[in-house]
Amino acid sequence: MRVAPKEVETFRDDFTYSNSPEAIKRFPFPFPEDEYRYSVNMEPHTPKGGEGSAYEHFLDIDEHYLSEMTERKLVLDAMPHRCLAMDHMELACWDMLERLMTSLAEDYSDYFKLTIEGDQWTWENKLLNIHDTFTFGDSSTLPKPPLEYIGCQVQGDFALLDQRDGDLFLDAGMVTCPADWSLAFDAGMSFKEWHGPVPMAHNEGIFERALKYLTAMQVGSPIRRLNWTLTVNARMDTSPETYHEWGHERTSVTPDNVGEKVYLRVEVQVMDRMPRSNALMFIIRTYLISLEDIATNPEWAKRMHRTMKTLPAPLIEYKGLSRYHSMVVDYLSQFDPAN
Amino acid sequence: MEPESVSVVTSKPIYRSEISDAPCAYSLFICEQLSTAFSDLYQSKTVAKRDLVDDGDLESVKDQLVTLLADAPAATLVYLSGTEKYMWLVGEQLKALGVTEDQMVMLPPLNTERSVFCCHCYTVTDHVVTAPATCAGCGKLLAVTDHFAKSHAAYFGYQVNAENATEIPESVELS
Amino acid sequence: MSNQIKVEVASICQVAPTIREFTLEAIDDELYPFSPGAHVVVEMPSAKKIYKNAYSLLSDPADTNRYRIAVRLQETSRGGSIYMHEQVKVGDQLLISPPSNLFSPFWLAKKHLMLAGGVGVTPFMSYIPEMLRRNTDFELHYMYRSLQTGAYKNELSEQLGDKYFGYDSDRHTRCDVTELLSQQPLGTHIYICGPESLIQAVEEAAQTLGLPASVIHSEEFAAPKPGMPFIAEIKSSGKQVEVSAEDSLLEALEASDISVPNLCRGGVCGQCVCTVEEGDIDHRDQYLSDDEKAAGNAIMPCVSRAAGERLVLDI
Repeated sequence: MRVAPKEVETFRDDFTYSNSPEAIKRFPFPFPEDEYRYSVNMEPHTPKGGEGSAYEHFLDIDEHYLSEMTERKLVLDAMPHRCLAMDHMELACWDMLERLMTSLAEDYSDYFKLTIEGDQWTWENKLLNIHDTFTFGDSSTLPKPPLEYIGCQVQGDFALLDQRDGDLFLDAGMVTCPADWSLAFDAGMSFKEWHGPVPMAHNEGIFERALKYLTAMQVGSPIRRLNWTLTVNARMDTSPETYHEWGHERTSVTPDNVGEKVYLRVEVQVMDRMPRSNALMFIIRTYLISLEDIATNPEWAKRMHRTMKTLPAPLIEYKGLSRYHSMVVDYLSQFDPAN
Repeated sequence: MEPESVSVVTSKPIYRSEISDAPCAYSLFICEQLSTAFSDLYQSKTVAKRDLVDDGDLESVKDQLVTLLADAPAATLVYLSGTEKYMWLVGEQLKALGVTEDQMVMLPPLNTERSVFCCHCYTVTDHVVTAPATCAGCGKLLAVTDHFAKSHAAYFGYQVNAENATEIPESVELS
Repeated sequence: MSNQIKVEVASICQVAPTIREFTLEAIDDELYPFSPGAHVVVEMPSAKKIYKNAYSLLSDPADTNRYRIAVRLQETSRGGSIYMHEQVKVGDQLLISPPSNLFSPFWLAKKHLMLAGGVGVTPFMSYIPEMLRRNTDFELHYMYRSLQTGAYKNELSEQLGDKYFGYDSDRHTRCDVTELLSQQPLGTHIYICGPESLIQAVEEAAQTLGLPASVIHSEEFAAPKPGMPFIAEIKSSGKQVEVSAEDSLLEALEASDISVPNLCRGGVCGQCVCTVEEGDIDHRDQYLSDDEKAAGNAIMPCVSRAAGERLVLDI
């Protein structure tokens, strides 16, 4: 980690969340071209961008670590159902715990340490003052079930997909910072079912191709793709569960405050095959940056203006941007004089 | 990009009224209330072994299924008739007993009523025929979507006026 | 592929007249744990060319110290199994892919019915230890010819007792698949690994009886048929690239220093699409739509090939 974790900031109420200049510099900007295009856009999840990049390691632990772990605890305390694992996913949960612990201990050895002696594992998380010894594979030796235990120590949402008969089923996960989808409702659905509401892509066969690709994924070759939307205020938990609490914020955007109030929300989605269970782990790591902070990089502001301007109407609607999309385009246009 | 294709939600179940004559060793007919059409269907399927469950009570259906399916063969076919909620909730019971979805034939639901899952309080509101609909749990006015979860036998609902309390869409009949 | 694992052949043993078992141990890295039904792709560097064949892992998935595979000498081998049988010695090093699994047990099943034909018993060798640990209901029906195959039949019979059923067609005992399927209880999932003819026979019996397609799972252990060699001509430079029977068009282009953007190398992601100016295409990808395939002016070189002797690529 090149950027040390900051003191806890908030993603609700007074919204004290902010990005340091270093965090802005390393932000995973998602638009590769001027025009918006829906694509599978998957690539191997291998290091990219060098030291300090958001893609330097398998998991990205950044300056918001403590803030996000605090926010996650608030969500789970209020709504324990935001984390669930069906009985047949037990082994997959242990696969996930192993994958996350070993990669954290390897990539961030100052903060995390894993000692393995046979099936006796000792895990230290110096950032959260956690030190536990447990028996690998035996949930009764952990303070919490394995998915919840490790999920509360890593930034990002997690889903574990069971692979059966050429399809993937959403049978376990911890989802506290989703872009408007509910794990409680979608639990148990097939790949096509839980993508049911996504517009346009079904006709283009994107999900069939993505599913073929994902079911063929090998152990040790994770892939990633980026997804994005816009969020009003630096709110991590834009879940349907709390929509009645944050929905009204979409009406609070004005031409004067759009730069500070609207955030580009980027998900670095990582998919990785779990060896013992053959499940697929799906990490959704969310980054937030205000339009104002994007404007500190003129190339980004220009590129984003063009992308927003060409965004198809069904996607504006699906992403919930209808009320303020035009203000975003107007604001960004000042950085793109030619357009 | 055609506008009508955009609104298709692929998780919404599709029911077919024509029933193929697939082979099987045992057929089970389950209905919420017996209709002439379903009775005729039962009479028309001359397989080696068949049973009819005519019961609207899910708990008692469950007990009957455990008994009826205890020694059922792999080549079993189940025909279901009733409201959408009834068929999918019985479907969940069947799945737990080893029946796969391609062994279930669901007839078009008896009416257009929907069950709606409130994403805010997780309550399922039954008998919804118009949208928006009031959640029986938290009282919020819910938009009713086409996103269907088989395990809840319900459609996804969210507060329709969360962004602006005064914006309440006109009531429409659901199909 | 950069993610290959270097292994050493720790032991070789003859487990049936035409089947040899190889025990592989890691040299540098540890071996991945794997799930029942997983296979690895073994790279076989013969003098003529490098063969790549997939073999099921037949060891207990809980044992991550070693992998075991079994290779049947194929009469119509492309060369891979001959290489394994005749060239590979204890102490040799081989490159294998990480395990991947397209034949996993359906753990929610009430009962597992495994049908193995010959060397097709191998994936079930990794199913059985896990099924015994989970205490699930299962049966293994093993069809073999004792003059050629039948690997592990004695130990399986001993270990599994009344869950094991052997059929030796060299001794005229045969499995009545229709009768067997008709006796299965609701919730049975059926797994078939063996020759195409066995898979077909089971699928047909299942259909006749009215078993749902979703409970039938199969994996064919025969290696995929190679394509025909052809020439790819590059329109911009006029360069002629020879594509051998075993190489993909993408590999052949890369070998000629023609770089094509690519990600998945499996016909799905669409990154490597090339425009075809002339020549018929044998489409093998998932990416192009049926209409696009019929139009015949685009190819996914990672998996698809020429249907004739020559293709002209507009790259």
